[in-house]
Amino acid sequence: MSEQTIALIGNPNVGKTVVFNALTGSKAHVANWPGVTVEKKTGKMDNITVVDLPGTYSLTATAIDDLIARNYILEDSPQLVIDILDATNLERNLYLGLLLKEINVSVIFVLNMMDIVRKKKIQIDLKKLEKYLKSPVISTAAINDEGISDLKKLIKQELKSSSLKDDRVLYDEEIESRITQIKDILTKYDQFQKDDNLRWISIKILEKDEKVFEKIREIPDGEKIIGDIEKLVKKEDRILLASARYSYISEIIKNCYKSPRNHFSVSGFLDQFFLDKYLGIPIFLVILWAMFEFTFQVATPFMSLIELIQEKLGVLIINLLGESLLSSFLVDGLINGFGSIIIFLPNIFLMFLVLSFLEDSGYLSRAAFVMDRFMYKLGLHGRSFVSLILGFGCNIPAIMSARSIESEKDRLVTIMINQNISCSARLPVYILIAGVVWRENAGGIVFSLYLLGIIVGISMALILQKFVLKSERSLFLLELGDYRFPTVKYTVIHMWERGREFLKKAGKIILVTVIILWFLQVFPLGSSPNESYLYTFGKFIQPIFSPLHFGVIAVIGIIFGFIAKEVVISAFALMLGVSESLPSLGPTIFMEFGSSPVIAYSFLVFILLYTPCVAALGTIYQETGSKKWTIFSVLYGLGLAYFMAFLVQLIGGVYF
Amino acid sequence: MKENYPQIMKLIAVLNLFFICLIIALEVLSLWIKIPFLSGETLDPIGLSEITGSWPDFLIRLFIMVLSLIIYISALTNLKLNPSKAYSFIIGGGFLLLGIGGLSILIYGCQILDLLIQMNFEGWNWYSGFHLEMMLFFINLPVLRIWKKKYIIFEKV
Repeated sequence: MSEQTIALIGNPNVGKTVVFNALTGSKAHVANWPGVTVEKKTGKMDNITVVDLPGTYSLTATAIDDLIARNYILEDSPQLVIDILDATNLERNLYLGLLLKEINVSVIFVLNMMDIVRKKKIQIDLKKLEKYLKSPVISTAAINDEGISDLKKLIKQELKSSSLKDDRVLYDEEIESRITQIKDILTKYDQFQKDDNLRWISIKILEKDEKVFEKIREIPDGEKIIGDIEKLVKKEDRILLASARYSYISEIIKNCYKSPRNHFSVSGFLDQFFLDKYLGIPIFLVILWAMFEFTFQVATPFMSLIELIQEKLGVLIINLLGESLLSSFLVDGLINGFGSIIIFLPNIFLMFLVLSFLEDSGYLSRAAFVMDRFMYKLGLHGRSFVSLILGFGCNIPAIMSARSIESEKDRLVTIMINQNISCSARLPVYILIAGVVWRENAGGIVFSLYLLGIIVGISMALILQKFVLKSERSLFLLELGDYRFPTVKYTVIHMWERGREFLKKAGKIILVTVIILWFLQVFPLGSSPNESYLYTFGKFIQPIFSPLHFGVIAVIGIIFGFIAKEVVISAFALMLGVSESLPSLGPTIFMEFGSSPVIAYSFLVFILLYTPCVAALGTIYQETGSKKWTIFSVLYGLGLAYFMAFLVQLIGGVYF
Repeated sequence: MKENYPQIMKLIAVLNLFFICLIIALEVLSLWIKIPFLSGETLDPIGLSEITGSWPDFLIRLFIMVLSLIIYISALTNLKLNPSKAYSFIIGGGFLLLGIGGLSILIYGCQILDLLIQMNFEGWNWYSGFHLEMMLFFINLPVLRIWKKKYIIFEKV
């Protein structure tokens, strides 16, 4: 028996990935936030392969993620398609359902979010809906695993009855007759005679779908076929087809869906404040500030605890092994070098916890909406801001999320400015330096750096769009789902998923880099710290940074930070030969900056803005497919960081 | 019990208003110390700077408090004319202050925990601006219970 495959499809933010996780037992990332899934994911349900496709509103491919979904259904021909619908918003979700019925594929309709439906006292007649859609309909609340076992049974049952039923939804006579005429023309040609999707192709021809026309042009006689069928296509067909679908949906809603009038909506109530014209942006900034306060303050006792353990461990090793090369490797290399990064784990996990909470609650999509109003005034695409917010966690998924932007130029701008957004890897550097220089004001300083990242990002987008990548303004469509109180399970899972990535990176790339750094610092053996390979290398590069007053050690940190930003701290710890961790490392670093808060801040600005890490650069290359843009992002990052750090010193020098 | 909700909400609004005004007054007073050219000196005998924190903290706190002030004044003026709107404001403002107060309690608790781990109590300021915000958390706790009964309240008025 050949392997069976099912595909999950649906509008963005209807809970496809939650259903996918429930069916397959996976832990793929989910959020109350449209556009989380930008590429297809696969998992296993018993022996059945389950594919989770990116969210899409229609099968008319415009953005890359929509195209992934459409191409998969048409070209990979899964045995069964599961259309996940947001049951609280059936009217809009059914449009995609009707489009699926135009393709030669078996469909199961899953009405998800039934828990919210019950809360809102909405009534849905599933039996009637099944009759209208001519396909099985089942209800679930996947977030609570409700209805999942019934869905599994239904999937297996539908896969057994392998033959396709003739259950298409029909349009009015005039449109149906022209669909038939186009089908008749196409069947005259060999290439189309065995095509199972002739009806779909004919409808797409009426809609003047560019991708379908391109495909026809590619085959011999393509131009002739187009000449024949174009006579049958009318200018208003696209509108006629859409209105035919919508009138069918209206009929379904009228007969199957009852929503109580004047129902008090929590989301509507909260949005009065969060989406307010004047309050929206200040509230977003307050939430951002609260996030950093929380991250900083709550992490402090945990950091002290890790620090205490490291200190005791260092003493224990020295007592056991005495002063030797091995003890130097263990204490200076691993405990102080590598440990100086591990100490920031609480901060990173706590920031991910808050980000997951904001994402799952539905607030982050509101933040993007609020910022869109402001960005649109500047001539920027609001979707870019969604990508920027994701960059707070890690720039790599944020760069990938730009796939959902339709315009190629807008997508490039978003990728380019993403490196200006402060990812979690830079946080340890800020915390260490800000903590020692600005003490109780450290939270505010870190907040200012994050804000600066956003401001610089937006400004650079504006410059790139005005002078380098001029593009037409396109509309920003973002669905604002209801607020949901995040479940502890999913919030913790999300925090762990992201934190695990940090741990993996720490265990591989960072550990290896720290060992190399230690080697370069210790050798040649017996030399003083100022004669080591590392110092000699830093001394060679340092003159470039002389105008910024960065010393040799800061320069070494910057260079190794190119591999992973966290390594900047390890470089400081190793070079300064500080045996205890944070308490003495911070002040020693501050002395490296000539005890000048202005130089310290300009160093932080440089760390914020300079070239992203190697992994992020790899993603930029993968997403743009261009060496030119990848090199540009390196040079642009370095140039911008140098300029801004210089500016900080220039302005700071006047006032402080 | 539910018949008492309007009175409880009114009491919550009045108490909130009192504490918000107190915090704003302290914030404004601390400006005198924060900006040396206004006072001509940087002395801070009663430790106001400690209470109001750094500049970003000060500005954000002031924004939240002024926003809350507007919310509660609007709530109290609407209480007779448009009770539904007034209750929305009291509950919405309540959640905001629960968040701010909760964050303060968490931060204060973590600072004490940190001191315990380090066993270092020297220079610890037992009194801080957090206390006033902590009060806001306790005052607004009944909002959670009222919120559970929101349908009764909003459908009644």
